[in-house]
Amino acid sequence: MKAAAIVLATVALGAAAPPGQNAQYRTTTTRVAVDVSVFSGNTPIPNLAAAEFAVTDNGVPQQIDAVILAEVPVDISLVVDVSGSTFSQIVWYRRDVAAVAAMLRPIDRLRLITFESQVHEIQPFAPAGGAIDVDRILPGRISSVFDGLAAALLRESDAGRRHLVVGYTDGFDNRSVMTTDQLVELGRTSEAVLHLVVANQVPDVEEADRPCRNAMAAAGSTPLRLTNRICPNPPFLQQAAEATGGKVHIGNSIAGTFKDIFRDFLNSYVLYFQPTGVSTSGWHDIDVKVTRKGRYTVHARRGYFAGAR
Amino acid sequence: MKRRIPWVLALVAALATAPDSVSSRPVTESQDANLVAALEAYSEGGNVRLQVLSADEMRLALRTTGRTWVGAGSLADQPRRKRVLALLALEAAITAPPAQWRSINELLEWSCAMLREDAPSEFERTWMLATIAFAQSERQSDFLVGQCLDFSSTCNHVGHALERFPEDPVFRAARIFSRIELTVLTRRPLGQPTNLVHAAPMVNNGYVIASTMNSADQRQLNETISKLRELTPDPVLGPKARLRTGIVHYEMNRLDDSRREIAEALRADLHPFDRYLAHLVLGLGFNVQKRPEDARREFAAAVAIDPGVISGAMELSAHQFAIGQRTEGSAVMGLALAAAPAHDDPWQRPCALCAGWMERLNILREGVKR
Repeated sequence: MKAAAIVLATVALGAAAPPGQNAQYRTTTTRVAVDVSVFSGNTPIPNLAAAEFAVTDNGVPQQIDAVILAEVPVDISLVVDVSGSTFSQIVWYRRDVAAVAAMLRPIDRLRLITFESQVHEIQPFAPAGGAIDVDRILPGRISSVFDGLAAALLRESDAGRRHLVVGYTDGFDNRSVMTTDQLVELGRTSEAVLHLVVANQVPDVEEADRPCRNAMAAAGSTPLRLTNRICPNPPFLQQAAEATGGKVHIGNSIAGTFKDIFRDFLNSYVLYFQPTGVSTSGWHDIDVKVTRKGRYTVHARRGYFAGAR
Repeated sequence: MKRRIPWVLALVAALATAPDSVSSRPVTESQDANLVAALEAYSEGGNVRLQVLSADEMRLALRTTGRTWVGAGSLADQPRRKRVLALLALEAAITAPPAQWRSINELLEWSCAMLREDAPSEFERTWMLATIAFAQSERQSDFLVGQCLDFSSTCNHVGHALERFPEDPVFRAARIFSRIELTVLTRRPLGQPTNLVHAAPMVNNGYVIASTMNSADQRQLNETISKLRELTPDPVLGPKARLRTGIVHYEMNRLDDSRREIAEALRADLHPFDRYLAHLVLGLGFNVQKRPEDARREFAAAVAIDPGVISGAMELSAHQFAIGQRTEGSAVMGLALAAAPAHDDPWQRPCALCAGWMERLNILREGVKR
């Protein structure tokens, strides 16, 4: 069986130092940084050279200046759904959050956000290794999924750091002020990479799930198989995640799924290029491919904004 | 067989003025001991953190253990002890799963009847206002102003308040403000009267989206707007009525009419909570029309009123990100998230009597101290 490779790419914009001597993960007005994860199946592929990547910016091929393995520090925003239906799981959430904190490297930072009807920043970004007051993770009432995720995405990445948002939810929203359209748009404009862990997936709900899948198909995305209960939000959540270069995972453990997401994120490259032959402002479509021989599947951020629209 | 604990109390025996120093201690003894400990904690002015799984069980516990606790006090102290029970019932109602709305209403109605055993007091008036506001925020119009049918034990709560305080203009206006169509605010206009007047009596039930117009529903909506208009001369209630009218117009997608009414409301001395709500609705209206600059201006006005409220900050921040102002947007969102505890959000409680909600709760907590 031929191995498939998956490429995840994200772009961050802002002021930064050039790569190489002091690897900074941000982009100046003349330099774009793209972080890319390449897999064969579930196995990261190491040792790819710059010549083995192809990047286009608004369809124009770009010259890659440098490729480094992403050893830059990571800021992780962990976003947890604590709406009323999760009451019995709170104790597990507390355990999992502590486990996630223990997985981080000393150079990383962790932020914890919970949401029910309101959004709560339980802990701002704090260096790994510090204690988290998990007793502050409390169950609430109704659910504002979109607001919880938006609160995490609406943060500018600090210079020299990448921002990974991992959300855990059943996908059922009933009180957000953010619309699905706004969340998908935010996925495009945010610098963060969003991965979602959606709980309560069941396999045999083809008929009940049809409206969701139709909506997904219309949007040009691959539909997940989802329960009727969490329809129709996950298709939009999936669009938002994919817009950032992340994706939706199905799982019932925050820590278990986070472990895989974080491992993959750490095994990513950062590509740098100076955009040439394209506008210096507005929306830029980005496309990243691996040119090494073989079959590859590519998931990538759709693009970036250069300057104000 | 081990007795099931239907609700859990985590008691925090510290003064409200020192929230940073508190630590919670989950209580795992019997619910009766939990309840008495909570009642005593309220009496001492401590913070009580409630986690309620069953509003029914809580009501039963208050009827038995709670009333016994009241009877154990001196005759002079018993009215205060009843007030403690009523406060705990309200806080339990706020915490209980919203799907238990029938049981929650019964819990509140039981407390209401208990308070009415004694002479009217300022505490009772504040409690009535707080419970009406809570029920409005939960879209419990039948509980507030519904007809009392044979099978319904919870109805006409506003009527009970009016019996006790017949001259109070706020309770008279509550008969209008508690109509279901005045408790709804959505991200996008619902567009049809039917969607408003048949909104589900529970916030997380969403909305029935009708594709056709029902003339009876249109008449009901017209009558509601007419009743609101009668309130407009009142210096306090008038601006609230105009704001509600503006929100109804927004939901009917009559955005120019909405802006006109809300602009009139903003000319008056509205509570900051209502001012915030007014700018939020204006911003949402501009969102609908894809006028981002106007929307951004309104959300910025809301944030200027209270930077610690999430909804307006999130809208403003998202708009700023969309135009590449990530630094500014990040700062706005960060400021709102840093507010702890979370500030009361008009988006979550878009009801007419919800302004001053937290202040009322604090007054009630002060009013039950020994």
